[in-house]
Amino acid sequence: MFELRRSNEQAAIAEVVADISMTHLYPAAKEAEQANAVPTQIWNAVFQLGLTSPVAERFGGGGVPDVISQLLAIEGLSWGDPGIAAAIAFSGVPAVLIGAIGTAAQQQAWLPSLAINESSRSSCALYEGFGRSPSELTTQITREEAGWRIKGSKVAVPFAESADLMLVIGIDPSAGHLRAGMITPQDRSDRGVQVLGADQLSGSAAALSLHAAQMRSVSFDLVVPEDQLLGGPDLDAQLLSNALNRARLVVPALLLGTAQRASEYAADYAQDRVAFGKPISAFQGVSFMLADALMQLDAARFELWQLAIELEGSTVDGDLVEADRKVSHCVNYSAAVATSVTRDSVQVLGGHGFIEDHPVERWYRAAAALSVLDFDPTCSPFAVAL
Amino acid sequence: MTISFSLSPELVEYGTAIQEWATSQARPYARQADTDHAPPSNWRDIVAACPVPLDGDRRSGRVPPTFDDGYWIRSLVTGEALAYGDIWVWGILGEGIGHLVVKAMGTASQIERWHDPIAQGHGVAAFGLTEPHFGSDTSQVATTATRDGDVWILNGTKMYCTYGAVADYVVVFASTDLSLGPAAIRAFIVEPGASGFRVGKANESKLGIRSWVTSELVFDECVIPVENQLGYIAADDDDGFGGGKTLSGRGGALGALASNKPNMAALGIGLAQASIDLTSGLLHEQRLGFAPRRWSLIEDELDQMNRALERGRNMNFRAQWLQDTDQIHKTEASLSKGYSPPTAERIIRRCMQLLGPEGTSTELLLEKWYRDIKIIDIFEGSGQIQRVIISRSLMGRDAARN
Repeated sequence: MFELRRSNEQAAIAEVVADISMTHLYPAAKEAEQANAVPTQIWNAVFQLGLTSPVAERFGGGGVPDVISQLLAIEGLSWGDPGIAAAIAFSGVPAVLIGAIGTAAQQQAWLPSLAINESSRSSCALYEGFGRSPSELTTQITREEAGWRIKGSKVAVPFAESADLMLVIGIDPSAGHLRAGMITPQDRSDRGVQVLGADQLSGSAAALSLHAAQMRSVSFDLVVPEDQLLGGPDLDAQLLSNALNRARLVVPALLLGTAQRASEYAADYAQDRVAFGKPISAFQGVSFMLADALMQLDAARFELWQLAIELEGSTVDGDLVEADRKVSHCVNYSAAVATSVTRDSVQVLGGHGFIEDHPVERWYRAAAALSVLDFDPTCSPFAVAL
Repeated sequence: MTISFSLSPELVEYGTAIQEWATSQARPYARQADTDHAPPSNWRDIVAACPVPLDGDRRSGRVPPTFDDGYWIRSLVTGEALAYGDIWVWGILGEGIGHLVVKAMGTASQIERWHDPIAQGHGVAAFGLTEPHFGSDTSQVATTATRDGDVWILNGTKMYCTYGAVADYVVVFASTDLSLGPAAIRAFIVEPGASGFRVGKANESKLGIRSWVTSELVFDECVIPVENQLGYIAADDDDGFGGGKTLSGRGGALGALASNKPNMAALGIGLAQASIDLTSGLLHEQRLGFAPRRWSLIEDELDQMNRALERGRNMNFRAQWLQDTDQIHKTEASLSKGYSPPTAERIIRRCMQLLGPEGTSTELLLEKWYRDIKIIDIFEGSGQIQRVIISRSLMGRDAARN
């Protein structure tokens, strides 16, 4: 049966997240961007909601909410500020993956501290850029006598310098499938983990947007012991793929929250700004852009939710290639929608959209930066505007 | 006459020389100009090193060559070549558009005094039309001009005035009687040092084109001579409103914008072309990392982007060819500026996506150009306003009125 009414829990989560976004994240957006960090009190306040780094109660966490609740939380935070939301959401990915597919020992070793230690940062090194799909990753994770060698390069690794736990996703060529290695600060002391592209002067990641997530390119060449292979050597690779596909849904949720807010802001502005004797919302050239935004955002959000539910319920017998492909389409449609909607939001504000007195320029940058992370040109071919 | 889309070999050579200089000598300062919100302090030396004379190259005294292609066609070629290096170069070499209003509305002596020196590359003329509460709807001019004997007294605030804080003069649009609506809008020359004229904000904090001077100008009981009213003719001056041509201030403003719009579209094409070329080079270095199907798709996309820019160039050339040959070009200017800028934006975004997160890092200039280019579809008439102008040319004043 088709049903879109939210559960009480989902509605409550959406409400509390909207509130914290408006009262905390939105006012702190500029500060977070300038400091390349999420202000501590905001990080802690969001962490305490237990939504972005969810851990089961038996490991001392607040429980793992359903997948729609998680997406609502991420989208809602991004509605407040995409940079802060991205930092917090990306940091929560390892807890979700370990909770889903870690060995019992890994869950015991990591989840209790991830559940309570709000000052710790985690990171998942997945993307490699150049529009490659997950099946085309070039990072390799191979068995050696001393353990498992992780070798390759990743881009957009959050908290590249400071993560207390970094998951690296690669391919095991001998097995022909994905594996994930866990890297701790101890593993990084021997120069096997090199952070690239750091700004020498500020020591910060310099980029178009998402400064608070401190994303950098990182190269790996190190050996970790077998107990740091996520799920152990015998993990069913389909479980890992499925978990990663679910983690890839963080980006579309962030994109949609950003674009949703941008379109709302532009719609408010269009009702106040008067030209030719009426509010500019009365002109179809303006109002149709925002009407298109609403259609696209709804369609993208339903696709995201539908896919999340499908992946959550899927068994190890599911068609992996098809699932990868569906996720890529979902991510790339959200990116196309969000970049277009945020672009149009700047357009609606005109000159005022181009100066930093209004937040739409920030959302324009954020959507573009999010849109490059998990890009696949085969899902949304280039199209000229006219 | 044979239809032709080609430029003279001389102009092609001139454009190529500028582009090579802009890329090798000016682009290395692009990041700094963005960070500092100002052009490099040694910009005069950089410009002096250009192998061919440029417009607005004041210090060198070199005169740009004339080409059979025409003045405005040359300006398109120059603009694209400069923007290809980086947007900061045009920001320093552009002469503004205020003098174009002088040319449209001024008397012979005013044209000689205020238009000709700028057109010959000796100065910068700012344009003060937009105010905080309006942009496209120029009937909302709230800055007032009050006649008091031999002077006009201006009161109001102008925004987004390119070069406002540094120009040799600003053309200010002000109303002589707010109750008369748009008909009472006239244009006035205000020079630095005029009593009551001050720079409210020298440069806005902007998404892009940060090294361009984008100023807020304040006129607080600003006093200027009656001769500074464009079109002023002393012999006709009997009613206290200033004698002169009947061309309205708005007409002059919009005429100046129509002259320049295709050039702005050309800047966007320069940024997009630079992005394609830079991205293409980086992708070719990664050639072996791509599956054949994916590589062939990427090559197709780069081809599509290049073809799209070529279409945009033709639209620009058509509009400026009309202007060079003294034909009506108002609608064609809008067709040109409405057409290519949104595609140029998409091209830069696509280039960043093709490269991945390194494409949005400050190691490359793509992220900067993606910020710079957004203004192209906004200033000198947003894409929406171009469509209004185009629709009205097709279907009359009632078109796009809703």
